[in-house]
Amino acid sequence: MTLEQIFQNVVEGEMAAVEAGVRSALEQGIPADRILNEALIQAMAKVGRLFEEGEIFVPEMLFAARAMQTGLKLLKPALAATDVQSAGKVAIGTVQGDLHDIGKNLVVMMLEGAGFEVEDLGTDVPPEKFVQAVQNGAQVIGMSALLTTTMASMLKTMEALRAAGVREHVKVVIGGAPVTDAYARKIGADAYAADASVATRIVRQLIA
Amino acid sequence: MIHNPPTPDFARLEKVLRRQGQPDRLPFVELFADNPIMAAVIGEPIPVIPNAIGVPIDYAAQEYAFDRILRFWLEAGYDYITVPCQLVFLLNRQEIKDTAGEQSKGNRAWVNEATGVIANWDDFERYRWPTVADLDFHSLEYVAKRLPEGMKIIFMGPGGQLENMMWLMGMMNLSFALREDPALVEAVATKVGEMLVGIWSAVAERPGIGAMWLGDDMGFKSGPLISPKYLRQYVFPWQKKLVEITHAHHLPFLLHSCGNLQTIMDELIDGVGIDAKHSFEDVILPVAEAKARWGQRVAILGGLDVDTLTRSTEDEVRAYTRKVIEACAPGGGWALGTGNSVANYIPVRNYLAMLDEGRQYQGYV
Repeated sequence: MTLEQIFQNVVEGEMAAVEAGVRSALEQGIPADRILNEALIQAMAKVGRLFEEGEIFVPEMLFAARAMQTGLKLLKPALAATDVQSAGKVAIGTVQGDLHDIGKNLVVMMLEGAGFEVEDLGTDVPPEKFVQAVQNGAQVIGMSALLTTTMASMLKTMEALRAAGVREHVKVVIGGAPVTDAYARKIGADAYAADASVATRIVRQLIA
Repeated sequence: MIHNPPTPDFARLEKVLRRQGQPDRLPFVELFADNPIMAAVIGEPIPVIPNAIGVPIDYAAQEYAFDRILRFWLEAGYDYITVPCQLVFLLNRQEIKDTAGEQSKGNRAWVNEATGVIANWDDFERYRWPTVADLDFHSLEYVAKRLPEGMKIIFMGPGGQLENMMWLMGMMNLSFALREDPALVEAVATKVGEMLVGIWSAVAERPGIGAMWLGDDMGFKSGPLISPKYLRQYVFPWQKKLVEITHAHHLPFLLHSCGNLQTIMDELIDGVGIDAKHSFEDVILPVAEAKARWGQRVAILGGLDVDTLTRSTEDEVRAYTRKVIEACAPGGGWALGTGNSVANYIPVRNYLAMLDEGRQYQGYV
């Protein structure tokens, strides 16, 4: 199976075909980082574009992400052996008081699909857990909130990052239903991301 | 407290819902207000009424609560009271501490989005599906007998077709099942749809009902949650049946649906046949633009952005409300209200300021 076919199967969310394709590519001696960069990451970039353009929806994105993760799992041992570096380390969570996690999960999947190492902090994440993630090496923090009332936890987290003296060591991206670019500026975050695909692009720019 | 003498007249709101020109004054509209808000307005606590299958109904507590809830809707200036369905599907819910400050409800409940109660056919077979026989009409009967002259009931369904499918299966499970087990999705859709049709048929003919309101969140910030292809397959046909039942009883059908539905609005108006659309967010599409775009074909309800109402000063809310009224009220077909509901994190003074600006509107005099 060619890299082009793996690419297409990720876009179409064909998990079994992606698994077979990645196995076959490895057996053919195609380097793991080539499979990752030219098939999986490129495919997820296309999925992100299709999502942004309204051509596909949450289910199709989930299918593609799951297919990508299946391929990525097969590549990981080979990638570790060749010491391929991740695109960066990101910690992401739904803020304290909020259990909404579909949006956050999509961002996690898209970031993984773009080659980032992602720590999923889960939901109802207190400020100190974000601080700890930065102390553990996260270069970017992602925060998600569904409601105006829980969005206030983003400000508390920003204050906690400053109080812990780690704010200058990390970039902060926020998103969610009531969140806007203006709110990001107001609380001193580095960026607002409108959806999972945009978030991936912004994270890449922030740590370039 | 609100001191104006209430003068409810459901015909006023109905004129808006049927887009029959300008009413005598600007009507108010809400899907619901959280209990702490209603309690603050009437100056008395209002207990939460449990609604679950198998939980014995405490009719005295229900009546005590509805006496106060009815007072809220009347005194705040509405021409109706919404009465929610007392029967809901059993779901996988989680609760955590509410962040709404002094108006906190204690805990806020969230449906588990990843994993619902139905992940496979075994779950489907085991699930305790409610039936129309489980419906209890006491609250509807009680409120109907106590309606002040001019007021009617708007019945609020137990969530919508897509909502209940998502809540029962979990959004992620539903997403995977759409491709991998369409028969299960079809079976869940049919069970939910049949239940909603049963409820609609039983309620629409009851005394005091003025309209039927379906809450069915179908969108997120930039588009529908699932493809229009799937909406046409599993959701719109059932919604259309509910509209047909509603219209057969000569009642208007209101749809509350959050998120960006711009790509499916034509189908909702022309295909499903809704009479009114509710739920708008300024970050998606300000209600004034929605009125300009669809106001000739469907009533547009509420739309004052919940985030703005929550995070603005009272003066800012007044100015914002006046601006929205000036854009939306001319010609009728619009009622004043929030973009979603009077959530407990909206400051009461801001909510009351919004209503006060509505009372002062002179455009229909």
